[in-house]
Amino acid sequence: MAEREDATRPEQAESAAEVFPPELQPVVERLRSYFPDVPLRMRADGWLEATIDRSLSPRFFETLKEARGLEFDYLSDLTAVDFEEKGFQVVYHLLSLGPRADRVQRKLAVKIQVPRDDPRTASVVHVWPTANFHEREVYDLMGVVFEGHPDLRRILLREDWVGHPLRKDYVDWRPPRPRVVSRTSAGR
Amino acid sequence: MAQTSDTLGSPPLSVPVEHELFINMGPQHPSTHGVLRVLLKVDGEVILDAKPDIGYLHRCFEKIAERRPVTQIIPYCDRTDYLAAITSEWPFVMAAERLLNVEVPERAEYIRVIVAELQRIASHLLWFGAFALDLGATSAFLYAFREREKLLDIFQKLTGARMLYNYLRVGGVRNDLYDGFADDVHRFLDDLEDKLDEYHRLLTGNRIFESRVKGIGVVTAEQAIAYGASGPVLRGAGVPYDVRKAHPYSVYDRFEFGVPVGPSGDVYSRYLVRMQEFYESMKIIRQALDGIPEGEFMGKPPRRMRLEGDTYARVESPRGEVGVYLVGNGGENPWRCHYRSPCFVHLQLLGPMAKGALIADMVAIIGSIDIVMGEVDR
Repeated sequence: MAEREDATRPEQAESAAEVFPPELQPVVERLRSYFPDVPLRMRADGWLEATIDRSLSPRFFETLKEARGLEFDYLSDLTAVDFEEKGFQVVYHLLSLGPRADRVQRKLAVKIQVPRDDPRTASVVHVWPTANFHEREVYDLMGVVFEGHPDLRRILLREDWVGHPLRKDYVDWRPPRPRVVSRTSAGR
Repeated sequence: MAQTSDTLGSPPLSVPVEHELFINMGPQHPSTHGVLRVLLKVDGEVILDAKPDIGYLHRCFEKIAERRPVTQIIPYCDRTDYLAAITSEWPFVMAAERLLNVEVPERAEYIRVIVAELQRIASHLLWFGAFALDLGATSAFLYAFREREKLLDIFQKLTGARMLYNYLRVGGVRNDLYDGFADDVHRFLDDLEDKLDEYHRLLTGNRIFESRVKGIGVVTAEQAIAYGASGPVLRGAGVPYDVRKAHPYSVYDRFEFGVPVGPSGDVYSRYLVRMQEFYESMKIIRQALDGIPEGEFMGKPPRRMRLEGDTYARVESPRGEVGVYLVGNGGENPWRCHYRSPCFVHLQLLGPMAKGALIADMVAIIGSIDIVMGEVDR
């Protein structure tokens, strides 16, 4: 039952990550025909995973959306992970919605590593408009700048907040608020 | 070079000219369903643009999740989408089970499905009441809550809590169904069918209601897919995508149920989709109660839950596709836990939906998205 959302594969060894299930073979071949150097592997939960260099973005994503045989028209999630010295990893989870049954099984995760001292990558808002809020959130909490985003500003935190709290090295420098204790307490 | 203080970006709405006016809707507003602030640019009563401003309920869920072991994060998951707490816990628990390679026993899966579908009914009842209330039909709110009370009583008998259950665990559920659970649920469902007829007679086909919701807040199918919509917003636009059918999880592939799809992507279509989902959920619950096997309600999770690898687990909540991207690095706390909230994504559609509508329509549009700010802001 390879297409189940919650499939677990306890027997999967590292080398088996290179074996692609038959329903994803056409996608793998099509991707390799466009981008032969991009490493692809199967994640244990049934998602195809591609790791790309940030110079390939946004062309990579435009191809993913437009090319026949790929047609990843749905961006399910865009987030980032802080790996400390290794930098940030921006992760995209893509799906293909559509009437033909073969599109349903296309699940692709794309990972882009960006260095910590220059955390910027291209925006994909022009490919999937839904990326707008996701990229704003990643900028707000992680500090990754998405070049080409039409309106990159904070979304969850106050606009005058300093720092990016979801980073591993974030320290809250806000001074403690004065606590006022009333001398005549309300109980009496 | 990323800047440490936020000076990037343009102001949210372009500078108004002549007849245009900026009006603030929220964050304290009875119809915004939580602390949502919408900046409206209006020309008289007509909305030219609407931009949501969120973050008033941000409680640092993702940061806290990096400092707690898995079981201690589950109550925090409840509090994201607090109206559908089971489907908020489920993707997290599913992701942890994948990373830990824990098998969930069949009975536990059936219990999860039953409770999740009951949760869908409870959430839709509240949506129905609040939506009707926003449009002026006050009594519908009271009727919906009367039904919801019965469901909350069932949840309390089962899990100990009315709304925030902390019921799912890695490997199963916290406790088994109580004796008499099936009778309680069957009695509730039979009663609900009559009550749904009442609700339909109240709103569906009511000319006043229809004139307030038909043709309002239209989303085309292409727009819905491009904006990452899911759940009733996507299905209301005509796209038959439901995570339970497209990428089945748990034991959903054993049940016969339909996926209601709306005709035209307006507020009325989303209303019809949710009303039909009541019946589909009832079907699933009845089938699950008939077929539930005996067995364990809890699998065998490891004593020390060391998370390794990454996974993205998705579930169909009453609001849409909820996802949890969980990254482990060998420790008991997640390295990263990202919560993909459907309402967060749907708020981006507020602008396109509200263009050209009246301020009164804004209320209907916000109600039709069924927003829970706890999920949006986390």
